[in-house]
Amino acid sequence: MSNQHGPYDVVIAGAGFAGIGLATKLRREGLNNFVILERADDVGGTWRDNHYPGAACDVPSHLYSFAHRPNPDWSHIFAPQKEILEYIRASAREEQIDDRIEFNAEVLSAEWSDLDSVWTIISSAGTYTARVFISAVGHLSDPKMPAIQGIESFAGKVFHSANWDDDYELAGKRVAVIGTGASSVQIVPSIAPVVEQLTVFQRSAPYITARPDREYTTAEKRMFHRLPETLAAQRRDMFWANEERYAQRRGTPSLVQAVQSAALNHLASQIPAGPLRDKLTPDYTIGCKRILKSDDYFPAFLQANVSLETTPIVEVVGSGIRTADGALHELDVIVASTGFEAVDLPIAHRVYGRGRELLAERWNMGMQAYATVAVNGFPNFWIINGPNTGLGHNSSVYVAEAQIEHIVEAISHVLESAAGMLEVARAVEDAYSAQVDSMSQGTVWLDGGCRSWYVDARSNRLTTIWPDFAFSFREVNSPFDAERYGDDNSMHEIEGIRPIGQLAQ
Amino acid sequence: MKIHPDAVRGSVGVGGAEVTYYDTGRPGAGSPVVLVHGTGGSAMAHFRTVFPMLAARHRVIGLDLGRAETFEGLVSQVEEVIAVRTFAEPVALVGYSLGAAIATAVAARRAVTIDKLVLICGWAKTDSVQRARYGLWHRLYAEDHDALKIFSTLMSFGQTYLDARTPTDLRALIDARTFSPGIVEQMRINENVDVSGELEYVVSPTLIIGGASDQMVPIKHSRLLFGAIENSRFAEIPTGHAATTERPAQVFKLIDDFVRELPHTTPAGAVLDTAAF
Repeated sequence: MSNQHGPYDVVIAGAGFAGIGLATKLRREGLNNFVILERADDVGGTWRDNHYPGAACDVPSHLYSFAHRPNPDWSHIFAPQKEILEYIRASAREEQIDDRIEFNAEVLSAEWSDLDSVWTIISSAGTYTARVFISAVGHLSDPKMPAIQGIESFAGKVFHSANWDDDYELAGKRVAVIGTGASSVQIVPSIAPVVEQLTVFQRSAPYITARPDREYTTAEKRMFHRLPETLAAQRRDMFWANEERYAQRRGTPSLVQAVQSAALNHLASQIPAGPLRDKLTPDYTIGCKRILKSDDYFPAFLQANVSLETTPIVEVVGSGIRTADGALHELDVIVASTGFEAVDLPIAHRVYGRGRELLAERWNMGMQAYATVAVNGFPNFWIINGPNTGLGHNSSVYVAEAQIEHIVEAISHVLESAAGMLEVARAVEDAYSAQVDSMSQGTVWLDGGCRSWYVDARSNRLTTIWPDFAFSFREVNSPFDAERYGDDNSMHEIEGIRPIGQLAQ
Repeated sequence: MKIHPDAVRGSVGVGGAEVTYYDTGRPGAGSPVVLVHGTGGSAMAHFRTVFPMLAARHRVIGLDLGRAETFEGLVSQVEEVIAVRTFAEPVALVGYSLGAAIATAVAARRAVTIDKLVLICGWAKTDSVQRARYGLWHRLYAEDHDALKIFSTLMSFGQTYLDARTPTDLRALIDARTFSPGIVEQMRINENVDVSGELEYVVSPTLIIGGASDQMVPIKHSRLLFGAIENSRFAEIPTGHAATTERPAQVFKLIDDFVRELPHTTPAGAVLDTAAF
C-alpha cells in the first residue's frame, strides 16, 4: 500500500516550537532519518492557530526564541503573533526541515509493538513506522469550549479564540467574550474599538501587571546584528529577571505582597474606585493562576460600548446568553476565550504502549513522566511539553529545549545500542514523580484558593507546572543517563534539585 | 513585614550596641548561612529576595548591624551573633559590600569558625577613588538629601538595571532610599577599611562574586580578593553594586551551588561560567 511510510528512526508529532526545535537538533547531530507529522498545513503550532486580534507573546521575544537561533530583528520587546510564526517558519526553512514535514497528517493512533520493537503511527496521511516516537504536540493546543447549556442553539456565530475567523466582520456586531485569561486580555482591547457592543463574561478576575512593551529601534536591531554579545546579554537579563519573579510567586509573604501590590496598583492607576474596579479585583492569592500582562485591558472597560458581566452564565439561547439574574444579553457573536485542554492531553488518548495500554489510562489519576519526558510501559517514546513543564514565570521555549537535550541523547542511545530499546522503570518514574509532588506542597498553586489548569482535579496533583526555578528544570531534566532509566540502581533521588518555598527543617 | 515566615527574631548586645538577628533555625540545628549586609543596609534591604530563596534550602541567619564607631566593633557584632546562635555546626558566612570586608576579618581571625566564605562586591583596602566618593557623600548628606538619594541610586545600580526602569519606577527607586541611623558612622568606617594584611589567614573555601559594572566598589577589588585569598573561586555577574537586588536569583544560585558542593567540584583559582543558564 502506497500509504505505508518508513521505517524511520524517528517520527515526531507536531511542527510547533518543540517539533522544529527537536528536528533542528537531530539535523545538527546528523540524525536525518526522521519525519514530522503535522495535522495542519503549516508549521508554528500555537502561534499558527492563535491569530486572534492582538495575539502576542507575554514573555520577552529575545528570551522566547531558540537558544541556537537568536533573532536580532524582533520588532518589539513582546513580538506579535505573526512575527513569531514567521520566526518558526524561517527556522524550519533555514534548518532544512521543511522537506521533512508531512502536512495535513494528524496522528490518529500510535502503537508500540513488542514483537519487533517498532512504533506504528496511523495518521490521516497514511501509516508510518519508526523506532522512536516523539510527541511534540504541546499542552495548549486543543481548544476547550465552555460546557454551557444550549450553546448549539445560538443563532449567531460561535468560535473559540484559537479558531478565529479572520474573514468575519466584527464591526457593528454585539459580541460576547467568555473568559478573562491570557487570550481574552489581548482580544478585548483589540476588538473593543471596532464592535458595536462588547460584553466580557468573567468567572474570576485575573491579576494583571504592566506590560512594558516598546518597539526596538533600528539602531538597537543593527547593534544586535553587529554586536551579538549585546543580544546575548539582553537574553540573560530577561532570563534572570523572570527567575526572580518565580520567587515572588510562592511562599514568602513579603515578596508575594510586593507583586500583589504592583498588580493592584496597576488596576488602581487605570480604573477609578467603584463597582467596576471591585469587579476587576481578584479574590485569591496572586500567582495561583497565571499573572497576566496588559496595559490596555482595564481601560477598555471605560469605553461606553464595553461592559463586564460577573453574574454566572446559565444558558445560551437563540438570541444570546442568559445569566443567573434572569437577564438576557442579546448577541450576534460569542467568542469562547476559555483556554485549552492542558490536564488531560488529547494525544494521550491516541498513544498505546506495551500490551496496548493507553497513555490516557496510565495517566487516569494525572500525568507523570520521568524527567518530564519518559513513561514506563512506553518504550522509545518521549514527550515534550507533557507533565510538569508549564512555567508560571519564564520561557516555555527554554523548557522545551531542556527536554530536547535529554531526548536527543536518548534517541542517539537507542539508535546506537544493541537492544535498540529504552524504557524507564516504573520505580524510577514513581520516585521522580514523588519528588516533584513533594516540591509542590505548600505552593500557591495548591494552597492559593483558586481553580486553575495547573492542578489535576482527579488527584489534586500539580501535574502541569514545574514548581521551581527554570534553571533547575534544566539542571534536573536535561542530563541523560541510560543507567538511570533502569530499576537496578538506587539513584532515584533527583540530584541537584533546589526546591524553593518548602520550609527549611 | 517579616523577612521570612520561619525566621525567629532576637538580639544580642555587643559593646553597647544592639544587633538584631533573624534565624530560620536554632542553635545546633543545621549549618546556617549567615548574611551580613553592607553600608547603611539591613538584612531586609540587602537580602530581601536572596534570604527567602536560600531559606528554602538552608537554615539562614540574617542580621542588622548595630551602631559602631569602628570596623572592629562591627566585626565583633558578627562574631557575637555567630557565637550565640551556633554550637559547633559549620557556618557559611556571606558578606555584601562592607559586610564582605567584615566577613573577611571574621574568617581570618577565627574567633568563630567559618566553614565557607562568600564575598559579594567586597574590597580589602579602601582606595582614593572610594574616598573621593565618600567625601561627596558627606557633603550631600549635610546639604541635600534628595540630591544624595539620586547620587546614591545612580552609583548603586548597574546601567542595565537603571535603563530597564520606567521614569516613574526610577523615581520610586530614588525615593525609596533611606538613611539608616548608623549610616554616617559606617561611611566613616568605610574610609579606612584595610583587611589586606589578613587575607592570607583566610583558609576557608571562598567564593568571590563581583559586579561587572559596579561603580561603588569597582570589580577590580573583587579580582584582587581572588588574587589574595588562596582558596578562592571567582564569579563575575553583569550587575552594578546592588548585585543582590539586581540579580537575586543568580546570586542565590551561586551561593547555593557553592555552599552545597562547589568547594568539592571547583578547585581554588577557578573562574565560574556565569553566562550559561
